Amino acid sequence: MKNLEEKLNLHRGGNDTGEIFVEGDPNSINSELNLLKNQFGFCYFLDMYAAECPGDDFDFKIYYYILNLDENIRIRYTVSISSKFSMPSVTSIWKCSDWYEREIHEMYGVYFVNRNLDRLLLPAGCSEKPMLNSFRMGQEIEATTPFGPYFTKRNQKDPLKNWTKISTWTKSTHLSFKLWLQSDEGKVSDSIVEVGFLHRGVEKLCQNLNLFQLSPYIQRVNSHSLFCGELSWLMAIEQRLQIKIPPKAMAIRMLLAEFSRIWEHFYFVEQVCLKLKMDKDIREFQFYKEYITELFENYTGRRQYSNVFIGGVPSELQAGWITSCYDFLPKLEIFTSKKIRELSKDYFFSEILRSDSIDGNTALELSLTGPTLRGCGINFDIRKSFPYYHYESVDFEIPLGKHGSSFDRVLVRLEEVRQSTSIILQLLDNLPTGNLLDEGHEIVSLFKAQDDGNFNALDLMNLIDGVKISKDVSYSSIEAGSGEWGIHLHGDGSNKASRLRISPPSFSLLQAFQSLVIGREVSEYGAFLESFGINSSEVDR
Amino acid sequence: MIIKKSHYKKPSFHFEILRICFSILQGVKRKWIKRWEVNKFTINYGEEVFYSNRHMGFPSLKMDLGQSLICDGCKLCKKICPTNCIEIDLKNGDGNGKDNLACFSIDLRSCFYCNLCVSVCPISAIEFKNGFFSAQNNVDKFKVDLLERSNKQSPPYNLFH
Repeated sequence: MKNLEEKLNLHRGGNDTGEIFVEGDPNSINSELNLLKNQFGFCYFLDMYAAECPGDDFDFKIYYYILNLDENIRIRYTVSISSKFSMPSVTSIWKCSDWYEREIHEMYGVYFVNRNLDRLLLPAGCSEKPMLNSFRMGQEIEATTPFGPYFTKRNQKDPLKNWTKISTWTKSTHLSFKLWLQSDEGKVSDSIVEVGFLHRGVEKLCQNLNLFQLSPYIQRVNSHSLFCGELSWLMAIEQRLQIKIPPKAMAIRMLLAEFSRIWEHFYFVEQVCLKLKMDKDIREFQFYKEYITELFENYTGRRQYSNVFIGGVPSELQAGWITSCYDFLPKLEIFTSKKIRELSKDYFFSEILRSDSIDGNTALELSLTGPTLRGCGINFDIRKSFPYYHYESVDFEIPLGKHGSSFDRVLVRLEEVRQSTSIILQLLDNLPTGNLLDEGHEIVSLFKAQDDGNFNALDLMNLIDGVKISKDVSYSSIEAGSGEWGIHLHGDGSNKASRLRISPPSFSLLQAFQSLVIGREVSEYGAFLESFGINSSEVDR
Repeated sequence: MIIKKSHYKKPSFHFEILRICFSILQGVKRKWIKRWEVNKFTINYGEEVFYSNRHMGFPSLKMDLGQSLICDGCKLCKKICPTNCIEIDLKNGDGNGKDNLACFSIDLRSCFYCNLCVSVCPISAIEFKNGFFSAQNNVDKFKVDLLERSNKQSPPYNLFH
């Protein structure tokens, strides 16, 4: 680490998050990042995004987040540039930075040298840069045609006959993106993924809203999960406002998160079974998923997305909730171990799913996350390496796959369900007592006024506007069902987030899918796609 | 490594064929038995709906024991609503106080059901009751005046029935 300090202009971050901040020079970015990757072991590319800095001499700052898997250190590498500067591209170092650079180019107009900058999220022919502060909310975007560079690329390369278009109208895709596959004797020889059909501009919306009002928007970024997006937002804001939620609230949040994880894993394994037309298994998975949503509803009042707010959890566990968990969880564990046994003995299931394999190096190069990364044999889980809440004191293990095939991913998912059930049982056995809200913080008086009785409506009104976040950048992430779900929060001393970057796992997973599907059978793409656990509303945001 | 090595063993093809034959026979047997116990009626669905105690359905204003509204129009819920779907009008300008409400309406097309208005309200005057808001034949019907609905004796939340 000392060598690193000598060579680069770095300083350590606060909050004990294991982060290092480096301010780099935009001209020598390639050599410095190469050094970090090859000599210091920062081989995992987490995220890359841009932000405007209105007060400074420069127009933009570009942030690179990279990770050392052995020592669990994150580096935030920052580069300040003016709007006319053309950035050197880092796609030669990390292949997966491709889509990230294209997104920055679309949203901010930063130009990257020597690379293809096709459209990604916005409609083709759009000249506006919507993430700039000069772009107002509600302003209309002019777009020429829905088919831009993709259409021309397809025409130039080959005649139309070999391309198959797979989209939402196809029976086998529930995701909202277009997939173009070029087939050669039944095998995929080229592929294009077209995204951006759902783009809601959540990040832009969040810059114009109060800090209290953001959670319903961030909940809805992931539509295939019960709780994950909201939890990562709550962790980000509570870290910034220095709220320490009581241990009981932590335990309840962990319970919800683990139930959400089980639900997600069952959902994606069910989707794999659906693609292979295994109807009996689907019905079994649906039954258990339904039970979990009922448990979730009994606590939060809704089947999806909880109403947990900043500073703790709103309500006590209902009477009878814990006993119904104790009834249900042993059944769940028996069911999952039965399912693992059945599916691994099923000849056709394993014959189809075992045919592909991803090795560890490509997994790191494409920055796969979650069960997909663990299926390739790489041991990385946020719950172990950057533990939050009670995960340090709970016993659980991380299942790893062997070959990185779809079969491994299914096994890893089902094994994780068993681990989550044991986590939930441990939590229920040792459920802490105490408050549900952080009594020490001023925010809590907003949610506690009903109990206290002494309140002034004007004071509460001022409190909603008065909560401010400091001028700083922070990153916090959780382990969601399909990978690392992170939030970058920028503040400028006001009561709004000056920049809020959501970095969900599906973005890099879908990008990886685009290159990994090449060389596989066209007929098997469905099961292969579902085993990644991609949610396209996360990709578009 | 937690995943057992035995799961990685390839199952044999002949065993699979046997297994399939067995399951087909099982299915035939089950079907054969089911022949004699035919259900003549389909089971009614949708008549009894069980809600959990905390189920969040349709928003409504609470009444106290004397059948008058609790809400005094402090507009905190309007302030915190992320989508600006709540509209509150008072009779006498800005003054607070009971029986001062002229209008309290929610546009359910843009409502998130995020529960922020309920958790913020210092006197818990608004709540989410059981019951669903179903499809409507007119767009204007989604803009619901809660004040009007709370005056009716019938359950105010269930618009469908």
